[in-house]
Amino acid sequence: MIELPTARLSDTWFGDKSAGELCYSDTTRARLDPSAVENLYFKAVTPVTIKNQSHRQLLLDRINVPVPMLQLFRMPAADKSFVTTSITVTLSETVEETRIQLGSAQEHRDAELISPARKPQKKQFLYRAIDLFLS
Amino acid sequence: MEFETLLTPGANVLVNVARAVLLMSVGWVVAQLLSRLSRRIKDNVISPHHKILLAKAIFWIVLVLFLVTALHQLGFKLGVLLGTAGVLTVALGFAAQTSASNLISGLFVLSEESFKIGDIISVGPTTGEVLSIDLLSVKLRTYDNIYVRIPNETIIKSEVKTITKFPIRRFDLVVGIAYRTNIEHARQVLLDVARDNPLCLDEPEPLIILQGFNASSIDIMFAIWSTRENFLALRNSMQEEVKTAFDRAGIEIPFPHMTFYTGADCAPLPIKLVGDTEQAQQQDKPVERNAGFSEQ
Repeated sequence: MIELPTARLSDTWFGDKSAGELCYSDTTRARLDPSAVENLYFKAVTPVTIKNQSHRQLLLDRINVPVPMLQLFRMPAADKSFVTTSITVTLSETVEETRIQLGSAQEHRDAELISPARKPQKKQFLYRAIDLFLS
Repeated sequence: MEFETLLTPGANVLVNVARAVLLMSVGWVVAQLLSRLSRRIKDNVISPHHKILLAKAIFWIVLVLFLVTALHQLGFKLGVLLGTAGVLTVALGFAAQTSASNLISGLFVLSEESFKIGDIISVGPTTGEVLSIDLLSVKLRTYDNIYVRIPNETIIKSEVKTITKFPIRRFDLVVGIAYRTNIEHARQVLLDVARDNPLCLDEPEPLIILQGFNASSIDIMFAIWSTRENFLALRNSMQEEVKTAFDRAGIEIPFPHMTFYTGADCAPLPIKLVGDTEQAQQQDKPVERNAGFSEQ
């Protein structure tokens, strides 16, 4: 499989002005109902679950998706849609207790693995990404 | 009977000098070897900046140790030498105040770590890449490939900007718009330009500040962010795109108008009036008027 960039996305910055991470930015429809997601043959869907276990209200403005750490699968259904590893964020009262988890290898058991993750999951990154994940 | 006792006093001195020279030569080689070995330490163990400092420290310590041994071989007593060195230091201190000041400033520059080797810094009018940070001076290579040596005392005394300290940079573009322009419209055009430029970061968001009413324009500061690697590309592309977008949206960037005054003693300027009088058109001659006024 070859990878061809079809569009140049705009750069964006996650973190404060002295330290952070360079990312690509794009708008998303972020459907709450999975059935409403359009299955376009050139797009991959990343399921994101956000559990707010804190008492404060969460304003979700943007999400940092660690794309290089996600695997790409093709679903066996007739539409042959693409799906990636899922992301689960559990937001607790403190940043220390907040967790980001990437889905396990078994989550899309019936699907065909198209591409493994480009980078291995780094626990260090995931912890660092917690305060960057939600803004 | 020892070897030295067989020799004449003159030959003895020669042997000692030869030993001292040999010691210094060996010392030089050993210092170089140890210094080079220390440079092989991996970057994740010690930073490149500290690695160079360590290499220099090892080199000079080893060399000084061999020098002391060589002097001892020549018959100098270390205690007397240190005493002489003390007196000499005071004398040198007076004689070489600038060097001593640079040396002490160098220690502060090294310990402060405001910048490291490879950083781009700006000291006064000089901007360039740091090649080395030594005890007496900092060496830079400017963008036009000129080697610049800046004394450490200057570094300590003056304002030093480390351009590559942080990963992202802001570019402030000040642009003037005509008074008749709708400011909200201009603001939207600028934001659209920032959104469409992939090098311009979406976050931190572009900032628009109205700077005030100037003589012939309303000045707007358009502050946009990019990574420091893309800064120059963004700076160039953004100015071009803002001009193009303003032209397309019919927003005028006003510029100061000049009035041409030839002075009372000058000859009148020939001015051709178009559509003024039929007579002038028929005659097709320029109508001469006195100079000393302008038409805009």
